[in-house]
Amino acid sequence: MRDEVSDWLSHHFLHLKIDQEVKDYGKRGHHYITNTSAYKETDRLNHGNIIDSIYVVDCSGSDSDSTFFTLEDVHLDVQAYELHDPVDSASAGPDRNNSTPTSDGEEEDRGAHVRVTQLPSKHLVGIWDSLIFDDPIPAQLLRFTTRMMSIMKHKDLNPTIMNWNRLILLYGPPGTGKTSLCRALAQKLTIRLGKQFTHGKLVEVNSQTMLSKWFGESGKLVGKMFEQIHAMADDEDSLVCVLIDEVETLTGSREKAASGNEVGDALRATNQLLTALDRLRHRPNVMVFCTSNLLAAIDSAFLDRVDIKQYIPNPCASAAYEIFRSCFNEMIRCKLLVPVDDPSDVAEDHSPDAPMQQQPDSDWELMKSVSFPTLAEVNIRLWNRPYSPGRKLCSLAQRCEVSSH
Amino acid sequence: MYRDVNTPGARSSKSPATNGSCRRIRHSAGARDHHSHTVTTATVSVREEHWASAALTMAMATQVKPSLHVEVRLKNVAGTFVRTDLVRLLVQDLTAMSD
Repeated sequence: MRDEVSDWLSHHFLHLKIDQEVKDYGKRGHHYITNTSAYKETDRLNHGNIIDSIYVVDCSGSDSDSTFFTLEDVHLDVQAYELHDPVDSASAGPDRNNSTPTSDGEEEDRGAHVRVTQLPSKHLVGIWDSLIFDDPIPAQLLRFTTRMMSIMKHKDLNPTIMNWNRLILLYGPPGTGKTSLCRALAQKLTIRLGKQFTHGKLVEVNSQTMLSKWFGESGKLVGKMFEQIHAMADDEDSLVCVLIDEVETLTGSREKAASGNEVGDALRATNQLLTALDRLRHRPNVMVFCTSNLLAAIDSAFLDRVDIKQYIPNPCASAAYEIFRSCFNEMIRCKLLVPVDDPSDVAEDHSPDAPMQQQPDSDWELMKSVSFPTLAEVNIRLWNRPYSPGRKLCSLAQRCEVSSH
Repeated sequence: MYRDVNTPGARSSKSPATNGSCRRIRHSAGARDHHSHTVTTATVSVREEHWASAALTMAMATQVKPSLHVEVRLKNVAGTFVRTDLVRLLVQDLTAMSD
C-alpha cells in the first residue's frame, strides 16, 4: 500500500503542499502537468476503495520555511494506518489475587494503575493539530524521537556507546498541554514508525494510585506496573509508549525526603522506578514520556536519565489568539455561532481611525465568508477596526498573555 | 556515491603519495542535481582504519534530501474484507442453488 501510494503520487504530482489533502485517488481523472503544459489522464489507485484519506502532513530535514515542495527534491515517506476503535482500549488494574487486606478486613484500593489504549486511536484523531505552541515544539520532538527510534533499532549498534534512555520529560506550568502533547506524540510516532512497528500501545500510568498506604507496597506496585510494560514490550512489532503524568509523585527528590522526616516508602518507589527505567533501556520498542509541574521536586538521578527536558510555557499572545480562533471557528463550523450583520458595531467606533462610512463591513464579510481571520489578516486588514471581532479577540489574547506572566 | 575501497577495482585508487597509509574516497555531493547541472566533488583522505566511520559520517551529513511525510488513513479493512467475502459466498451459494 505504501509503495503503491508513493508511486501514484510520484507519477501524478510534481508538487505537494503541507496540509494538502490528496483527492481523486479512487477515480480516473485529469491532472495538469506543469513542464509539458498538458493534461494527463491519471490512473486510480488499485486500493483506492479502502483509503479514507491521504494527507501531506510534514516535511523533515528541510531548512526552508516553505510549505510547498517539488517531489524531485524530497523523499516521499508514505505511512498507511488504520484507526483503532476506542472499544479496543483496555485497562489493567493491580493483581487482585495479591491485594493486601487491611486490619478490618477491607481490601486495598483497587484503582486502575495503568490505562492501555491501542494506537493509532480514534480518540486521538485531531489532537496533534489542536496543539498550538509558540515554537514548533511538537514537530521538533517528533523528528527527534522518530530519528532516534530508527537509529537505535539498528541491530549492530552498540547501545553502550549510543546511550539513549528513550525518556522525555515535559515540564512547565499547569494547563499548557503537556499531557495532550505526549498523547499526540504517541499517536504520531505509531503512524510515523509504521514500517518498523505494525501497531502501538499507549500506557498511561496513574501515579497517584502507585503510592500505597502500606509500608513497602509502593515500590512493589511500581515494580508490578513495569512488569506489565515489559510483558507488552515482548511483542517487538508493537511500539509501547508509556505516559507518566505528574512524575514528581513517583520520583520525588530522595535527598529532600531523607533530610525531612518522611518515611522511606516514597524513597523506595523512586528507587524502584529508576531501576525499572534502566531495565527498559534495552527495549528498542518502548518510549517513556513524563510530565511535571515541579521540576525542582524531581530526583536528580531521574533528571540525569532524561534525554530531553522540554519546557512548555504559557502561550504567548499569538498562540492564545490561535487557540481562541480555533474554538470560535469550530463553533461556526457547527453553526453554534452565527455571525450577524450588525452595522452598529462599526458605528460605535468613534476613534480617529474609525472606518470610513463608504467602506463596507469587510470584517463581517470576512467572518461570514469563511471563518475568524488569522492574526496576519487581522494585522493587515483590520488594523483600523478596533471593534471588529478579530481585533477584539486579538486584544483579549494580549490580555491573557499579560495575566499569565 | 562512494567508491568501496574494499573492492578490487577500488584498490587501484590507493594514492601513492600517501604511501599506502591513506586511501582516497571520492565523494560526489549533488551529483543528481539536474537543475543546475553542476557536480560538486570533494576529495577526502582518511586513515584506512577509520574510512568506514568517516564514510558513514559523510553519508549522514550528505543525506540532505528532506522527507515529505504523507499519511494514508485506511478504512476498516478487516470489516470491508469480511463483508465482501460474505457477499461472494452468498452469490456462490445462490448460484449453486440455482444450478
